[in-house]
Order: sequence, then structure tokens, then C-alpha cells
Amino acid sequence: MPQLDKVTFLSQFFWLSFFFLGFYLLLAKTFLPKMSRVLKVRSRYLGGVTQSAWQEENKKVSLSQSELSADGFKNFRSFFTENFQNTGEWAQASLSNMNKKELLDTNKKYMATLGHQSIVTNKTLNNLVTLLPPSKVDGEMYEKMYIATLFSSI
Amino acid sequence: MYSPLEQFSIISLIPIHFGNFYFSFTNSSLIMLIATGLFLSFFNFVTTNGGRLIPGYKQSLMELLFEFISNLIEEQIGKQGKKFFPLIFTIFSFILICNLIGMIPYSFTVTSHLVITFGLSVSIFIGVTIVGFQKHGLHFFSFLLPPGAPLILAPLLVVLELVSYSFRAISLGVRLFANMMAGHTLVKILAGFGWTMMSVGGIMYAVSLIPMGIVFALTGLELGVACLQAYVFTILTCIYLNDAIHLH
Repeated sequence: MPQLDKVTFLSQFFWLSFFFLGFYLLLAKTFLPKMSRVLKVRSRYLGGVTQSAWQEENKKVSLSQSELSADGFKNFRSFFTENFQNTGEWAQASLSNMNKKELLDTNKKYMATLGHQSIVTNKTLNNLVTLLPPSKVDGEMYEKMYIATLFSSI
Repeated sequence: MYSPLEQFSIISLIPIHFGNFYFSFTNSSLIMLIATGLFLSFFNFVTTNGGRLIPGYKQSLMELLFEFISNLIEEQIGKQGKKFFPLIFTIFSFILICNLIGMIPYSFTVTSHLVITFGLSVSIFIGVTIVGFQKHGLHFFSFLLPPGAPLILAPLLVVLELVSYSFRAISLGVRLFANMMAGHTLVKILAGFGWTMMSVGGIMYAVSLIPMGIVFALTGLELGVACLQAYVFTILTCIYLNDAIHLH
């Protein structure tokens, strides 16, 4: 039986390993990668698993982005209102402070002159009332006009 | 009338020898060269310019083969089998194309020789065992004691499992060899009958059509057996790899 002819064993085994190894190397290094590349491209193009996963991730990213921008705007607005509030409070506080401290003397002097003026006018009016004759409407009008000119001269 | 086993004789075409060792280029080597060359050139025509997105007939055929082997590995071994894909692919396509070329009349069937199939199966067996030891270390021996077996039977069971495991190497090779050789021998014998009947003449000339009809049907069967034996070889390799990677 030719299959059991021992002479041929070495040559058969040698050439088998040669061709099998060459076949394996050529397939594994060049042809199988090329084929799997085509299949991968096609599956991605047809909306395979990778496509939907990419779309999901895209949606998640856009959602988080809108959330972040809304948050940022809220922070921005609150920052502005707080700032304005603080500035207003500070302005008022400093004004009242200034009125209490630096402008105290001027305020006092102003109040003093006001008081002085009112006292003087009241005194003149009282003196005038004793001088002028008691009359009705005309007399009152003339009285008022005379007092007004007195006021204006002060 | 020649012997039906003469179709398997090895004829050296280019004798190469180093002393007593003969590395001649024989008709077996020539058929192997033609087979691998044919397959690789077919593959090359399919993947020129990176292959087309909408496949033509040839590319569709190669993609069918590719996905077939890919599904086989994923079903048997799972995710860890991906790195064995090129090996399984070349085993399947090598055996398939060698078997199919052997079906051509006056050609030579490479896989009908014991040394070829034994060489393949013993190499695969050794490789799978090495993969098992690499992955699990000495724990690989726990594969020989199936889970859920009572511990009293352990000595007997381990020896039995060891013999059964070692027999895988032999059975894988002998299965392919026996199928190929028996098929070709049967076809040759029946064709010999038809030839003898035809050469007698007379009424036997018409009766010789019966062996011819049987040979016709048998050739169809042998084509099926060629593809099936390649598939069986490949799937058993995947099962043995699965046993080595996932013990039990």
C-alpha cells in the first residue's frame, strides 16, 4: 500500500509543513486582514453595532453640553445680580457713613442756618404783624406781597 | 488492469536528497502547490483595491467562507477564540481545497496519505495541549477528572480520560485519511468494473453502464464527503481548543 511506504514520509511531511506554513502566513498577514476590513466597513456603513453606539454617545455628549451651558448661564446671572446688589448696598452704606462722619459738620451748619433763617423770618413776620394795620382781603394781599419781597431780599 | 491502490503512489518529480534523507518534490507537493496557489490567487482577485463594498459573486463566496468560520469559532470557543481564527481558517481551506482537487479525474488526493493527515492532526493536538498548559499551568490536569464524578472512581477515570484524550490525535487524522482513501478506492474499483465489462464486449457493453451510473452517483457523494470531512476536522479542532481554553 503506497500510504505505508516509509521512504516518502519525510518528503511529504516536509512539503506539507512548507506549504501549510506559507499558506497560513500569507492568509494571516495579508488576505484575512483585507477581508475583515471590508466586512467592518460595510457593517459600520449599514448602521451596525458601532454606528448606534456612536450615535448614543453623541446624544449623551450633546445633552451634557446643554446641561453645562444652562448651568453656566444660571451662575452668570446670579453672579451679576449679586454683584449689583452688593454694590448698591455698599454705596448706600458708604453714603450713610460719610453723612455720619465727614459731612457731619456741614450737615450741622446747614441745619443751623436753616434754623437760623426760619427763626429770623418768624421774628420779622411777628414784628411786621404788629406794624401793619388789620385789614381784610386787600390788606392781606398787600401784606403777603410785602412779606414776599422781604423774603426775597434775605 | 492496475491495482486500485496505484492511484496513491508517490512519484518524485524533482529528486532532492541529503544523504539518506529525501526531500524530493513529489506529485503530492505539486498538488499542494497548485491547491494553495489557486486559493490564494482567487483570494487575491477578490481583495484587489481593498474589495468592493457591494460584493460581486466571488467576493460574496469568500465572505461566506470567512463568516462561516468566524461563526464556528464564536459558537464553539467564544470571545477568546478570535486569536485562533487564521489557524482554523487555513486548516479548513487547506483540507477543503486539497480534497476537492483530488476529485478531479487523473489528479492526486493529498489528504489520502496517512502521513499528511497524521502530521496535521498530531501537530494540532500538540499545539492545543500547549495552549492548555500555557493558560492553566498544571491545573490543566484537572480536565482529566470530569466534575461531579465520585472520588472513588478517580484513578480509573483519570486513566480512561487520559487514554481518550491522547486518542484524539490519532482519531482526527485517521478519520480524514480513511474517508478519502476509501472513497477514492471505491470509485476506482467500480470504474475498473465498468472498464472490464466494456472491454469484454457484447451484452456487457450495455451492462457496463450500471457501474458507470454508480460511479457517477458516488462522485457526487465523494464531493459531499470532501466538504464534510474538512468541516468535521475543523469543528473537532475548535472543540478541542474549547476544551483546552475552558476546562470542561
